[in-house]
Amino acid sequence: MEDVVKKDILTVLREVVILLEDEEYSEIKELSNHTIHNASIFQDKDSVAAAVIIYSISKIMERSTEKREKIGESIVKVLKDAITLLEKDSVEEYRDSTKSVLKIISETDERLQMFIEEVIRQAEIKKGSKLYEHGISAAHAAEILGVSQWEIMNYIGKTTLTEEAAVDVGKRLDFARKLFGS
Amino acid sequence: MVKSIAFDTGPIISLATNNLLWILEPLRKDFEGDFLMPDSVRKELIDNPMKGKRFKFEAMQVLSFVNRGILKTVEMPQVKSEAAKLLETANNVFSAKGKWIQLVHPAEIEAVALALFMKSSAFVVDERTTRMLIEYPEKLKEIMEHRLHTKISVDRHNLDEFRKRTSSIRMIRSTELVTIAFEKGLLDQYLPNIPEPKRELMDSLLWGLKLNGCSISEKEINKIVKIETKNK
Repeated sequence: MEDVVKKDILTVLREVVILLEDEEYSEIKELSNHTIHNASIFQDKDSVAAAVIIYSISKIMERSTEKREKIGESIVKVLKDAITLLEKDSVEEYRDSTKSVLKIISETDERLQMFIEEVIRQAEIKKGSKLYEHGISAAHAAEILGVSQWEIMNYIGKTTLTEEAAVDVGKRLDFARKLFGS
Repeated sequence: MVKSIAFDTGPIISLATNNLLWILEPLRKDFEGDFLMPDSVRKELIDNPMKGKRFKFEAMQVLSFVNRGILKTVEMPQVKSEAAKLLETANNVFSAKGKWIQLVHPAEIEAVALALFMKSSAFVVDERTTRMLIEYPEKLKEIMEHRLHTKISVDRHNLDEFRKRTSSIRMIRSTELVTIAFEKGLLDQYLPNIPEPKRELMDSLLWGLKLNGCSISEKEINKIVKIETKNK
C-alpha cells in the first residue's frame, strides 16, 4: 500500500470513528468521497474498498434507527482494530478486518442482511460514477468497482455534469447527416 | 473495404435503455455499410449481463441485433495489436503524485482501434473521457485537476503520439444517431398530441439519452432542439 494511500485511509477512518461516537451519522457519507481522489489516481483496491465501506456504513446508520447505537458501537470497535492494524502496517489483517465490518452489522440485525447487499451494490455503482466524474472512463470505472457498464451508464446520466464539448454540436450533426445521406 | 461505423459500448446501452435500438436497422440501410463493434464491447454488452439477472433482457435485445447482422462483432489480431499500443499510450498521458493515471479500458480502446483499422467513417461513443482524450485532452486535464484538487502532469510525447494515431477519427454520439432518425421521420409515431409536438419529442429523446449515460450538455440539447424545430 502506498504511503499516501495509507495516510489518507487512516485519516478518514479516524474521522468516521469520531462521527460514529458523536452520533453525527449524516456527515459520514461525505467522508466516503475522500478516498476517491486516491482511488482515481492509484486505482488501488484499498482506497476503493474504503470508499465503498464508509458509504455503506453511512446508509446503514441512516436506515437502522432501532438498533443504531448497538450497531454503531460494533462498527467503532472493528474500525478501531482496523486502524491499529494499518498503523502497524499489517495490511492483510487490516483488509480482513474492514471486510468483517458489514458482516458484523448483519449479525447485529438479521433484517438488515438483504439491505446490506443492496447497499454495497449501490455504493459500488456510486463510487464508480465518482471515478467517472474524476476523469476515468466509464468502462474502466466499472471495472475498478467490479460493476457492469450498464449499471454505471444508468447512474452517471442522472448525476454527472457534462462540460462543454470540443466540437460544435451543429457541426457534429452536419457530419452525421452526411453519413446517413440526410 | 466495406464502409463502416464503429461502436463503443455506451451508445448501444443508451439506445437499448431508451427502447430505441430498432433505429439502427433503418439507419444502417441508409448508411449502406456495416455497424461494427469489437469482441470486447460485445462481451460487456451481451456476454456479461447474460450471466446475471440485471440487464439480461436488454442484453438479449442487443444479441438479436447481432444475430440479424445489424451489428457485427469483429475479432481481429491486428485490431488487438493496435489497441494494445494505443492503450499503452493513452494510459501514459496524464500523471499525478508520481503515478500514471490509467484513464481508459481495453474495450474502449479496442473500439477506437477498430475504427482506425477499418478506416470507419465514424466512431460512435457516448462517454466523455475517451471522446475528450481524442478531441480535447487539455479540457480533460482541466476537469481532472479541478476534481482531484491535484496538479496533473502531461507527457507531451505520449499525448502527441496518441493524437497522431487517432487524428483521423470522427466521432458522433447516440444523440446524433437519434436526431438523424428524428429528421428522417422514423420517430414520428411518437409525436404527442400536445402543443409543439416536435419540440417536445426531440427534447424528450435527447434527455432520455442523457439520463441514461450519453455525455451531452444541457446547452447542446437546447441547441439541437432549436435546430430541429426551426421553421418546422
